[in-house]
Amino acid sequence: MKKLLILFITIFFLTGCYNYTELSDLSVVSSILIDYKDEYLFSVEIYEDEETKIINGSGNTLADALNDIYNKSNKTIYLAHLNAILFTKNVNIDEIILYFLRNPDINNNFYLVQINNTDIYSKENIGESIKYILDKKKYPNFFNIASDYINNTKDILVPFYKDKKINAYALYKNNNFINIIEEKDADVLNIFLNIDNQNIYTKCDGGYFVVNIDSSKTKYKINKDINIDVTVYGSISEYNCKLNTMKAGDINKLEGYAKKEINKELTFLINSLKENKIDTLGLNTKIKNKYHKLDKEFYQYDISVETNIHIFKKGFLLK
Amino acid sequence: MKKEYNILSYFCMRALFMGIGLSRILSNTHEYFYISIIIGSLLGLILLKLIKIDVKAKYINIFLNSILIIMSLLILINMISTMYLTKMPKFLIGLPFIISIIYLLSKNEKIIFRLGNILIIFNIILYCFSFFTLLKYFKISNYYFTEFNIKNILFSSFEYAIFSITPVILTKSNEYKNINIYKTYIISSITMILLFGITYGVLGANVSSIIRYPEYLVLKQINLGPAVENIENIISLLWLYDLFMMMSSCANAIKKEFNNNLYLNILLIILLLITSYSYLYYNTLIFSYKYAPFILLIILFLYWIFNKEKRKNN
Repeated sequence: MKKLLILFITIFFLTGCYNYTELSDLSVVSSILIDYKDEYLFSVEIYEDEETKIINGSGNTLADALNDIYNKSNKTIYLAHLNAILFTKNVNIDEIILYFLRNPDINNNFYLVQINNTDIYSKENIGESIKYILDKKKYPNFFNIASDYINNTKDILVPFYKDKKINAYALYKNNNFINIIEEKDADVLNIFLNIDNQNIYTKCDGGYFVVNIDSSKTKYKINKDINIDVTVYGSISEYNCKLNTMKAGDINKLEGYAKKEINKELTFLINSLKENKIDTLGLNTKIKNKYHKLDKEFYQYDISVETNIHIFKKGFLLK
Repeated sequence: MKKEYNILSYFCMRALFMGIGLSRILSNTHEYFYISIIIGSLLGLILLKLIKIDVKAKYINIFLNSILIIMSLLILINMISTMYLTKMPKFLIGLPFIISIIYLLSKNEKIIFRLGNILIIFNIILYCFSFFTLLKYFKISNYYFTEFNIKNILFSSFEYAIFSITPVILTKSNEYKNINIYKTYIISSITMILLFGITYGVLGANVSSIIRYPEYLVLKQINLGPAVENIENIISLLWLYDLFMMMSSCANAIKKEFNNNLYLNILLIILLLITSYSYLYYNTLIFSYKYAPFILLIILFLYWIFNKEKRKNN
């Protein structure tokens, strides 16, 4: 009897009923848009049947603005399935990172995305679309950005959403928004960062061919100068050249063309980063790891890029 | 019984790292944590060898084990109220654990060992699952250079030794004092090094220094496709088992001194009330986190002084 009584009492206390909410009483949030104009302006995108619902709120602090949303919602706001946080350049990224990292009710696998236009919500679920695109591209999620930011090992890059596409980065240096790295430069930067699936357009004996990058590896060698070895594995996705892809010699020639093209792009980008003293590759940390001090910053070094490309797939066509 | 006692000791060796030990050592030593754990383990082994106990000081032992239970409850309740049940009163969070311990101790001591035998299987499965799923989030670049501070490393070694051996020594009764637990201690240290290594490799120096529960935060990364998300709450049971088994061992040590279950049950409820009440003053929590190694050192020292084994004259 005593055993049964103890077991019976225990059951009541093992349910965590204090925080219990019915599923039908939850407003599951897909994305949050944050802007700042004299106060924080929040728009929260909520799953509702087939469509989404937007609730707007504002406040002097991030907590106030979110609280305003809580007050306006007739259900409990549920953040554990958040897909994305979208914010404009008016918002301090530092505050967003620390605020959401502190919150225990939130997952860390959502994406942090910068936008330039706050009028993005429609019937379509924007949060889900963004998560789908970025998951597929393997872009850094909130946790990756937050840990790069807090560890202070490099200048951080935040995916930039524009015209329903994400193929640019917002660049931050020391917590300040610097610039947008536009489409083509972002693609080249992704090769360094080993984020793949870019197309490289290359000219060849009067025609052109396009190599799709399947994977890439980057190695950094730091001595008197910095040498960056990039090895790219790609496949031909479009081909308008006279060379015969069935011949090993011709494939070597194609690899030579592509290598030259990629190397040119990578060198141009690295020089541009060096000129603007932007360390998105974490070179200063690598120098510090090697010498245990930072007498010379990365832009004071000579930096060379060495590219190797292996074209190993040609699709169905023999040509 | 030797195997069962070793399993129970394994839980006790790891329990105090959740929330206190791991975050303290990582934030103090950064990428040199492994040096601390290796030195700490050697120190722990030496102390386990040197500290010979003959349990006899009844009231002191009850008092010291009670402090250890309060510390465990503080960690456990704070962890649960931070991560899962943010609005639930602290007393109610701790109550199911205390009721379960009361039930467990109403039985023969063998039941604790049997429970340990069962939980160790779950513990190993969860440990392996979390370790292997976290491997893909591990980044060698997070082992970036930070300043080497020999003082911090040595202090963390001392902390490691104290956190890992205090619960073991306090819960060791006379009938088990000759059981060799060195191998278990070495295995526990290896699992801790791997756990520290993977946590640090996922978080990096600065993140692990500003997070209260780095071992939980890394588990939040685990995502097995869109269908299996937010599984950190299940995996973190790994830590709950450690703490629960340690509290049960401490309560069992008290039971042996009391020889009366009613007194023990009343004491456990009082300890829970004290712990819940202490949450009204956040400073208590800060104090216990800040001075945890010193509190444990004092507990260990007093326990040793009052229960020192007398040398046999030949």
